[in-house]
Amino acid sequence: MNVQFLFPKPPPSIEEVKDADGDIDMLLKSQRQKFETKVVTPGEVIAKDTQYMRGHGTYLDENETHLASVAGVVERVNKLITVRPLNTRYTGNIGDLVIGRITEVSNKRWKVDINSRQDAVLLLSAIHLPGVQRRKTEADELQMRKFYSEGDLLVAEIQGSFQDGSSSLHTRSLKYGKLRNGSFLIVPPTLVQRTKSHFHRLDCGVDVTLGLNGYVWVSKPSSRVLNEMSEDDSEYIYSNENEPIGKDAREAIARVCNCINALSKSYMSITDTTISYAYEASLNFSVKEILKLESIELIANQTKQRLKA
Amino acid sequence: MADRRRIQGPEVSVAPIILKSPNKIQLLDENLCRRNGRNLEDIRSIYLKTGLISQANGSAFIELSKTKIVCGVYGPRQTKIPAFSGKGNLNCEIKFAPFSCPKRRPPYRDSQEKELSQLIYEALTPSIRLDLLPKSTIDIYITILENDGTASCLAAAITCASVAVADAGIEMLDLVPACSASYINGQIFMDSDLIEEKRESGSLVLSYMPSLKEITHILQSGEVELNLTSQAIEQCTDSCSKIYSIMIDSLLLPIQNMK
Repeated sequence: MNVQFLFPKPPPSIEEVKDADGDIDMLLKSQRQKFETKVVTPGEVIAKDTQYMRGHGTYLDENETHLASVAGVVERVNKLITVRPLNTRYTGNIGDLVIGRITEVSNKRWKVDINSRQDAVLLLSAIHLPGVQRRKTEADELQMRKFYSEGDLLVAEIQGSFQDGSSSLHTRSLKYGKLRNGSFLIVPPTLVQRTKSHFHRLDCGVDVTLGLNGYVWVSKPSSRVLNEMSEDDSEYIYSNENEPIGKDAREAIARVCNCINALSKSYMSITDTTISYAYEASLNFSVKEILKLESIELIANQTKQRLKA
Repeated sequence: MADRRRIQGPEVSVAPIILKSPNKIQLLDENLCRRNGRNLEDIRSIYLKTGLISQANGSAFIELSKTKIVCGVYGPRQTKIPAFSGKGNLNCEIKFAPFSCPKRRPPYRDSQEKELSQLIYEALTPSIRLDLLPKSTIDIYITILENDGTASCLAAAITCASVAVADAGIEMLDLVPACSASYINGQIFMDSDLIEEKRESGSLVLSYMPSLKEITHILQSGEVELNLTSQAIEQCTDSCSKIYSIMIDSLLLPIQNMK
């Protein structure tokens, strides 16, 4: 009787694919291909298997079939299936940097529009109060409009989120606070990605703050270096007065704004690199011309090519 | 100088357009073909596009030959009146443009608009996952630019609003296509236009979720026999499945362009 020993072989159908976190993909190759850049519409079946976990943008019917509940791209992380829609409202995550607009001043808190399902709250205790570090007093409560009044723009960090989709903000650092000396614009929230820093100073001498909620602030750099302890600076951060902005600075701000608009219209991600590439590509046009469709296309193409290079 | 107290007539006079009485128009020819060349069970060809209103969170435009409707969806956003509700609110408003009908529509909201708004609300609510949106409101604003048959307008408005809601990225169970039918002389005319509608003895509007195979809303008016109704429901569900594929295409187009 001939006995033969074979070398152990890994099953051929499973291919080890590691993602960014070093997790190994456990799916069969044929199964994985089902998910690769698949676009679905509400009600469409994504997977019939019960082994998957239900993520955002999906739901289960009575047969335990996974169906899409939004129109978008199917994304899968191991067993978790989610559908990411093209345009949707922003949902706050702790630590996100957002730009918002005050909609209401109420008891000990402000309501802030951050492009979310619900307005965010900014508690009086969550802001940087003028003067040396201290507790809030009744006097602060009475003059809340001195800090932020309706319509003011501010940059803040998300401190926590609630079950109903609303979140609470804080501006306890001097990095955050009221926005002045610039221009505001809105882009789809999916285009702004999480990075180390969301405050950028471009080479053209313009500051850009990218809120993760899709709100963007383009401004002239502040000439003042802020000091946490100084009484004067604390008054200054809540001032409503714009600094004088020269003609060149205004033009640069307008150009950057139009470039960001061009990027968002061509659905390209918005980072400091793409903005500066788009800015350089736009120098052949006047500020006004950047808004034309032909120039948007040209700027987007040039930016894409430089990104690839 | 002319007398300013009198109303001066225009310099050029134009003969008034005399409309043919709808009762004299022949609806079917000898081959059972309708006036615009389609069969009894055919619906008009549809043009559907999303994302026309830039400031809305989601929007859609639908055109069925003469019928033209735009829809904008705003939200989900904070409910203004802070009455607590564990579910989201859906707010539908339909508006006929003053120039949309053969007769001028006054710009204020009339009872027909209120009724249609309520019907659209009823047709869409089962499809939208309002349980995921506590304390929030979704506003749907529909404007009818041209009306060619009220029943088909209602159906097109439901289809259009459903696509706009999906375009806004709001979670829903399924898209809701809707289709209308008219009963004329014991025959079913699918997706009837204004002239056919004037001659109808009754009508049916059906909203249907094709992938779940569930009817969200059904509206029947007028006089009809039972077997004709069940036949009409069957034909409407068939047409809804056809409309569904158009809705999917219109939703996927911007995503595929992105890639």
